[in-house]
Amino acid sequence: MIRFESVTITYADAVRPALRDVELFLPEGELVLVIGRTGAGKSTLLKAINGLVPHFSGGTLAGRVTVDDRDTRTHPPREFCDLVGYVGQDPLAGFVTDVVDEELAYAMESLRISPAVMRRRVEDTIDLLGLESVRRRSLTTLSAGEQQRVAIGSVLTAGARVLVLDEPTSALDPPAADDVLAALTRLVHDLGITVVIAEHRLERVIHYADRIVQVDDDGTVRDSTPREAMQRSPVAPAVVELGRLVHWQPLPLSVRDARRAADSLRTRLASLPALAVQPDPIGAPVVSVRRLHASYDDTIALRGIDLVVRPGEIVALMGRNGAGKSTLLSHLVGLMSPASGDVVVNGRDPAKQSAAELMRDVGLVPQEPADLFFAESVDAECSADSGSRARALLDRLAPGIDGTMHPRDLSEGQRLALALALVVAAEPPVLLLDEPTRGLDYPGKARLVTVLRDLAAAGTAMILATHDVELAAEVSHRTVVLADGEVVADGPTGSVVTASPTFAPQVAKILAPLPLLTVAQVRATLTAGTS
Amino acid sequence: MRACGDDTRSAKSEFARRSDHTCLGNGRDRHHEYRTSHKCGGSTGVGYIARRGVGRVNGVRGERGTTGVAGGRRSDDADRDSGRYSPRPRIFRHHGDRHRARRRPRPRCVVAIARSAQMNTLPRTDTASDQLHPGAWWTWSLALGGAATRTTNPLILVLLVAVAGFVVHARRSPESSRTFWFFVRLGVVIVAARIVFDVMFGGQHTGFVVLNLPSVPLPNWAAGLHLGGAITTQELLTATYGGLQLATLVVCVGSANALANPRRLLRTLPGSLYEVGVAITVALSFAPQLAQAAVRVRRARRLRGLRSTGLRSWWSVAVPVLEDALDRSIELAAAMDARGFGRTGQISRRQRRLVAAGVLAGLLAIVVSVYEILDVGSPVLAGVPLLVAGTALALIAVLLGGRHRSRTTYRPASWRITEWGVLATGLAAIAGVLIGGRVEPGALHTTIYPLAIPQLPWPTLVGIALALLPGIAMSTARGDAPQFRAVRGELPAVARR
Repeated sequence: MIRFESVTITYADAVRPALRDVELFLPEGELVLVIGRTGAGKSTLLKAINGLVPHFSGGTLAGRVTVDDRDTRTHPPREFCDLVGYVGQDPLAGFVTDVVDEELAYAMESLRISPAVMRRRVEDTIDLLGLESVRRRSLTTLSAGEQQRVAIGSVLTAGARVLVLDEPTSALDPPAADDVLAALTRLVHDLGITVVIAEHRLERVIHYADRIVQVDDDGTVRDSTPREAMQRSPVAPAVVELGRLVHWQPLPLSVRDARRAADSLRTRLASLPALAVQPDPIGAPVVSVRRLHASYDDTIALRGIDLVVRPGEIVALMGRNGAGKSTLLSHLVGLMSPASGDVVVNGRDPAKQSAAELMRDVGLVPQEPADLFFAESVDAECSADSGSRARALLDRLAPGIDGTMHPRDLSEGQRLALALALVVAAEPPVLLLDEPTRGLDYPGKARLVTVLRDLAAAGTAMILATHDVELAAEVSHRTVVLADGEVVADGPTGSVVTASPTFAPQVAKILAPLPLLTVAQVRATLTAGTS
Repeated sequence: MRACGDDTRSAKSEFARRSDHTCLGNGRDRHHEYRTSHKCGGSTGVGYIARRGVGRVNGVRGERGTTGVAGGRRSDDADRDSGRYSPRPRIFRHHGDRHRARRRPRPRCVVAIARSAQMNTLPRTDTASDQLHPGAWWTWSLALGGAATRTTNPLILVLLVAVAGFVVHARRSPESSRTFWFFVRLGVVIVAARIVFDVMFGGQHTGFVVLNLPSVPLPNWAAGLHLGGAITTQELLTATYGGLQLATLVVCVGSANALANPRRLLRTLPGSLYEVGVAITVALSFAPQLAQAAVRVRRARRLRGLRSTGLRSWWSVAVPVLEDALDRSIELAAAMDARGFGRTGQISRRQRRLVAAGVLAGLLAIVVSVYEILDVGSPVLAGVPLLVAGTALALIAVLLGGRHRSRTTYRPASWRITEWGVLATGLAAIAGVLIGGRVEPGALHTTIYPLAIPQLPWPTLVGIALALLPGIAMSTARGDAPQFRAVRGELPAVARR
């Protein structure tokens, strides 16, 4: 179906090729997962299927890419719209109309399909993707999961046989991500559509994949079955790492397979002494929220929130999209004032402080780190506040960033590193992070975890609002779960995340009822047991 | 929790299974589609609607955001070669109709979520007004506005505003009421500003004095202006009448906006103007995004300890916003390219330029002629020949340009007898005002010196009453839907990630 023949892609003004000598054949009806580090060239590979590279993005393509015998060299992307559907990272940025069913029909209008056929196809796609309840709504009022499904539907109606998605689940909470992935697997299995996905968070999608295409840092590409790829891949989800640690054969890819293979491991771990529990942080609370009520645009966003964070404590704030996590963080930095209740951060009310004073009390890294940037180069950004401290931190978090680069040209991980460096350079005693791991690959996450642990050891209190249960399990002492504006669970991470199926990390699901959350903990228990 | 057993498509059942919902009752087969004796239980608004058998029903949003819905389409819709719903209102619709493929009618299940604690009902925005061509609403509203420009009689103006408000209310959806009230507030601001300006700078000091302000002497070069002085009722009334005229025009434009989204109007543009329409549609979506981006950047600046007010910070707010807009526009262009924009129907450059020139010239002629018609000073019929010529020129240019069919339209809006009727009622309002001015000279411009009670000539009353018809007729047809009053959910402002 999709064939790459000796493809080398070099962007204009680039030193080395983005992809080098790619030989690939993807047959019809498979779910293909493209993995690799940030900036390795996954997006380039996906866009080359459609012809967006080189027709839209510029650059040189050597070799041949054919989809169903249609060559991208001779057909621009618009000639591919009835064969290949491309959904970018931000579906909202790709919407042309403002209502769901018009968006679904947009691609068909260019194909000059008659209105009766258009109506039928729109109805079928709505049924297929479960969009009946939102069909007349405005696109900006949909949730992220619904937007993603509308974006998928809008390329399906044109009759695409190949779907290409760039990080479809990175911005979604676990239930919405499951919905999108379920829709995609249904398309593959019921309709025989070829789906090519690039993802960082492999734990959700690895057991659905039929084939893995791995893009290495130097631009070469290997394709293999999931098991083979996971045996040697540097980026691997927790279940695969556990399998590699204890040498399970065949390597399990899903929680179910791992659980079946884990009987002996469970008995062995149960007999070993438990890890020493970290002492609870002590000290006067730096963040104290009491009976906070907040409303936002005529809806009640928060009802009676109580929260206490002490120095050196890392609290993970979890919950569905729209549960109130970002609203709570906005209150803690004084961007919003509560309707009732009080918020005390570092002894003062953040809403009443000026910006300069506030920066010394609390720092927030927003969901979109690029919002913090306004200078022309990385060096100018760092020197705007405190010069050397920010630059040193940046080098620790993401080494090898050229100081003359424009901040918006950085990759996701590098942007997060720069934003974190800028915020932490002011050395606030309270640090807030809103979805820090969105778009971050596993090595980047590991570096982030190290930095967060160091900051906590130095006495900074941190609150992470995140969907990533693995991150929460790895780094947080306490977990608070918000739902519909209320605190539903508040306690040590170990007990909170294992109590709920949605928020349990993979290792906890595999080794339940043992209280182990991460592969590192398993490794530590085993080495402590053998020594 | 799911009680219904009927679901042929795995898609639906998967989503239905994954959400908590209660089956409200057995659906009916196609033979009983129009009966209102539906045995739907349910204590929610949704069930009530099903019992009343009125209109289309929206789903209720449940906890997980996935819902079932009571709704669907008629089985012979697909058989008829029509790209739109028929103008008769639907009495009851079934979800995911598959009757056309079956010989036996199958019971359909009406599924809805009833969670009173989290009921976040969003009334569907497709009221009956969506079935009308948007041009009908725009011409109707602009006709009302045209009637307003011919008179300063406050009684007539207030009646026009009331008519506009009534029709918007009869066709309301949550978004439409919000836009309409924005324009009404703008109108109030206009009247207030006019009064303040006239009081401060106006020069009429004759008449019944209400308040005596000290008069500030101005230098010789500002000899025409008078600052301060006595405020008289005449002055206030003149200002009010003048402001009211402009406010009425603004409210009429607001009602056009509320009744037919400008984007829907842009979709009805002929083929040769398609790219222009797309550009304007994209600009309409970008403007709120720019505003949101500016808000985000200001917040972020506060987080970095920088002031976000003042002229100096304006540049540092503008640059990230513009960069963000540029990134978004590139992503949008890539998405449109990948979805086939610009695929077929490339007319030659020369032809495109000719079309553009013809349309521009025609529109200019129309504008000038309309101005002449509406201008109080000149006779009514002076501008008509130019209007006809301009319209003809624009139409010819557009039709010639659109000969080569480049795109089809999903749900094309067509102009039928209903649209002519709506247009006729709007023209009736103008006619009523003009004839009333003939019948009772001086009724259109209430005299200030001496103060007189505004008169309402009977032709004007008849004309304006006729303009009410679109609101009355349609709301009767919709069956006076109670769900829109009872369950008035609020739309969330932005999609939360």
